[in-house]
Amino acid sequence: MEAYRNGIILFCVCTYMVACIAIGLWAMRRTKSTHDFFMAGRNLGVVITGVAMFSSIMSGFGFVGGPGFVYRMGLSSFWILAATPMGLSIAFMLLAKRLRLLGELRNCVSLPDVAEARYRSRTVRFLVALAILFGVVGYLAAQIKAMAVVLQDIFARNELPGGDSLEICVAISCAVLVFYCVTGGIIASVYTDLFQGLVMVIAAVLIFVTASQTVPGGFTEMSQTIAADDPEAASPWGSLGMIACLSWYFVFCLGAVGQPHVVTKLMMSRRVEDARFTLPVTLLGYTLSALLWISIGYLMRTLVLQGVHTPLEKADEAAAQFLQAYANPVLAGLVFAGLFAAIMSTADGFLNIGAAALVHDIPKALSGRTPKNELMLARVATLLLAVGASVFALLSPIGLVGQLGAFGWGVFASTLVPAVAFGLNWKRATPFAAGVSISVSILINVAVVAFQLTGHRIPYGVAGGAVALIVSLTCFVGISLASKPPVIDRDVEAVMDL
Amino acid sequence: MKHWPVLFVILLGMCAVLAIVLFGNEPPNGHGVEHPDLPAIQQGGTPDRHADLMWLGGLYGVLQIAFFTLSLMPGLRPGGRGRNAFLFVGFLCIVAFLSVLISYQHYADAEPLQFILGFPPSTALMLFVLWPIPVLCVVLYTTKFNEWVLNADDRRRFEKLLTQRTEDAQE
Repeated sequence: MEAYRNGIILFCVCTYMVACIAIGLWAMRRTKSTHDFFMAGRNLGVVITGVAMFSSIMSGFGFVGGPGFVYRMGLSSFWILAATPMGLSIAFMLLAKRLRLLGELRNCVSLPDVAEARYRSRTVRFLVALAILFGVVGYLAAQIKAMAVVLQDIFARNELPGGDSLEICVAISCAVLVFYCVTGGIIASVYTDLFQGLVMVIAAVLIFVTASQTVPGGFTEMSQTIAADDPEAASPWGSLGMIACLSWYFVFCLGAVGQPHVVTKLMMSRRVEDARFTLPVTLLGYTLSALLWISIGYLMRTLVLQGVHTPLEKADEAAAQFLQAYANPVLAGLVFAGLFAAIMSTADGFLNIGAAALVHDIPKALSGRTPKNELMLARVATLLLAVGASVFALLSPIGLVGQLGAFGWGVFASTLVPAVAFGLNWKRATPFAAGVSISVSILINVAVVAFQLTGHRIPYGVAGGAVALIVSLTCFVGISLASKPPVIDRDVEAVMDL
Repeated sequence: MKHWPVLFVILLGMCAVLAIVLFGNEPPNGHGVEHPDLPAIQQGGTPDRHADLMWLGGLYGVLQIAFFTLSLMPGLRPGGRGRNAFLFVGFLCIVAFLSVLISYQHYADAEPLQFILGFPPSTALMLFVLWPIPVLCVVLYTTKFNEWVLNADDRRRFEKLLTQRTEDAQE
């Protein structure tokens, strides 16, 4: 039975990867220019943009880390999910219209392009590109390592050659990812995101139904068991406590506004007015896929407390152990494919924006122009970024990779929310304020990682990203208010007036 | 636009709250302790650990929701039509958040423990009231987009802008 289950899981994962490669080959024929490679020819419809956005937000962190959080801390991490409706609303209100219109008007292919158009400053372009690159390397390494660890487990269970080598698993998972990203660019990325998003939603809904029926009394019995062991775990704050939960609420709400691999997709839609329907599609997809996060951790904590399941050694094993012990083999296979989907749909977005930063934004910031054979260089940069992040992931200890993942999220949120999201909506925002807020946020995020790696804990579990975000926002708004209003190009100002 | 100074004041308020929290004395179970018998599980203990933090946490939450609500405003068309609707959603969020806090304060005293839709009352309020309320923003954005965010006149002005830019580039 065990061999049969493992065989089905392996089959589902292999089928999924073959499908990704096929989509990459199909997208290659549609990718003829840099504009296609980075912006999908600005021709994406409502559903594909919406699904690509939510599947980029829901990474391996959500499918593995989410259930692990609930298992370990009770309901604390629900605040991350609860932040999404407001966060996405702010993202669409501040960015959907202005990013799309400015992108078309100035032919922008990246957020640093938009930042230079807005601030008339190559320094701001450089700093935004640098922040993106910082975040991309950290986050990408975390995604690649997560993917390789899961693949290694599947190989080992099926006693396949390579099951004992993390390097081989990194190479295989990275090769699939790089293949479709290099060949098809963002077109392959968003169409695989569509496929990946659908796999994630189906898997999450089926898991929620299975999990809620595993304990006879459903969620009431689960809550009773958890509250009897620890009343706080079933409270709205979980074991982590009120201040930490609220700091997560803040950083994940505004964080949704500052994720470059997510908001860049707003520039790719066919028509600006499509945003009105893209928002509900994104929110619905995210909420449905979050059902997996909610249900597995809560159920596994209950089963362990009831003595039905052996205690887990690591909280992140919650999802895998649930699938092995309680899910139908086909459903388990689908969820494992969904897990790869969650990781790859985030990683491909990072590869794309990272390549844009390397071959388009940084050269343009330094020399004022882009290289001649940009499309070819973009493909090479995608490959180099993936290889670099893989080597980084292999050489780094697991704790460091996890910290860098959090660092990436914190950097994105605290640099891009003030400078790009607020800057596009406030004529008084100055390039100096944007530069200071980006620099301050990178410094604080680096300091927080160093602080935690040396064994220190932030009081009350406050998220380091929340501190960086609040300070960088305060610097940005305060400096802009205290400065003279900057000069803005007439066409950019006209877009800001719409 | 007067709301940027207001946003700045809110941000200063949040900085002050964070400073008090970060430099205050945290109780041993302030953000959870390891379970005595089970690895990889944390316990929080009883709600007493939040006794001194309730006001501060409440203020932090209210400031955050106010900040989020005001952050929506610059996305509206100049003139601010629709502003009151979004402010009302923000107000509902604050009421829901305060309800969670009040309900949580009675959580430890309830005997036997009550459950609503499978969760204790304060948790149910968070999950089924506070979480979904901002969906109203999504509904407003979807239904009022053509009036409050980008209307037909804006689109015409943008088309003209685009044509002008193309002509300038050709010259």
